[in-house]
Amino acid sequence: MSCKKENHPDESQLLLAIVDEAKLPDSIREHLSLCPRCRAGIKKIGQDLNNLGQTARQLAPATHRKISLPVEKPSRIYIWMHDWRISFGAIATAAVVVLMIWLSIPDTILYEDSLDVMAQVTWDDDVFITEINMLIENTMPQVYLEIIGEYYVGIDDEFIEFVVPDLETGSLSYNNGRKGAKSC
Amino acid sequence: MSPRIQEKFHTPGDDTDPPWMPLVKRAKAGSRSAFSELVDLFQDDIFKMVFYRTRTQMDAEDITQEVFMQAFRKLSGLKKVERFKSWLFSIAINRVRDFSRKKRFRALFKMPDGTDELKTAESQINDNPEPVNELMRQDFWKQIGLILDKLPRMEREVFLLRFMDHLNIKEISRALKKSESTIKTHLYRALVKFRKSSTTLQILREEMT
Repeated sequence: MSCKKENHPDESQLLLAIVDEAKLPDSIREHLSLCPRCRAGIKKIGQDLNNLGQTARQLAPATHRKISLPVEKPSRIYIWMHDWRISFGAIATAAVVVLMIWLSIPDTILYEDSLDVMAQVTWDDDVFITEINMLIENTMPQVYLEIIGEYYVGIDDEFIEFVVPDLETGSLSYNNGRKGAKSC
Repeated sequence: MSPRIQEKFHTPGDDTDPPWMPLVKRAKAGSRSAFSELVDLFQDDIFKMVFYRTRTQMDAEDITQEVFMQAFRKLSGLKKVERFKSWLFSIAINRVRDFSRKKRFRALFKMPDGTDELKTAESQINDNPEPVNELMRQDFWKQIGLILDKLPRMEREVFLLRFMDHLNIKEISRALKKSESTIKTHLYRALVKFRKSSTTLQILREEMT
């Protein structure tokens, strides 16, 4: 079937036919289906584009690099199991260490410690009982005893003897004052 | 028939499941070996896709590594396994976008002396035993860059995905999260602009021959 020259679509319409023939008007589509020249034109454009792609592929360098994937991670259950084992192991180890330390302490040290504690308690009890006894003898505090004169701090019999010597015990001083006695 | 070859025969309108679907299901269930197989299957595609946009091998390799790392971490969140390919490409697109943004930011604080480009060119020539081929290769990518850099971002992305990464319209719409109609509009505009740059196209034809 022949086709008239003036009816041939231009290049832009041929390009549209390559992209999406459905967008062309019906008359042009009909023409394209019948015109061998236009079909050859479309084929030529298509070949050029295809050659472009092939040439680009040939002239692109080849890659030799191996793609490395991320390191495989263990599953969550395994991590939990792993952690559970670590935790259990740590607890068991700590328990064994404590037990061994406890067992390695000699009994004598423990016994001596207990004696010291008992002696301290006894001493505290004695002090307490002494305070109670003092309170039983005189319930008034020491300050009031000093005010009423029943309790003189630091004035004892020896001090009074020094201030007011007894006549019998103070003979030396008497002889020293006698006539004819030699003073030193 | 290998999954890659089967994929090549997988036409856009084909409703059958893609051949890598069982691998995605297994990988999603936690199989590292299945994911490794997916890496083997898609590494070259993703690397080339990134290279078309960055045009440096080292950056493309780094970004490819990041893409698969992210895919590995996020695969459990993929709801429809049949969309794995477009999902993987969407990750790659985002990583490339981040890379470009960082590169632009770094360029603000750096003198444009072109040392990076020189280093890249030198290293590539040293790696390649045939310097003439290497110069041709560099010239090709330079011309491609000149054409693509004139296009708006969305048109460039759609053009690259369709004609260089060989994704179909449906896969592109999923990867870019746009409607198929929008994708077709961008693709048509990009195609018209691409064909208009006739001088560059001529050079490309010479390269291809």
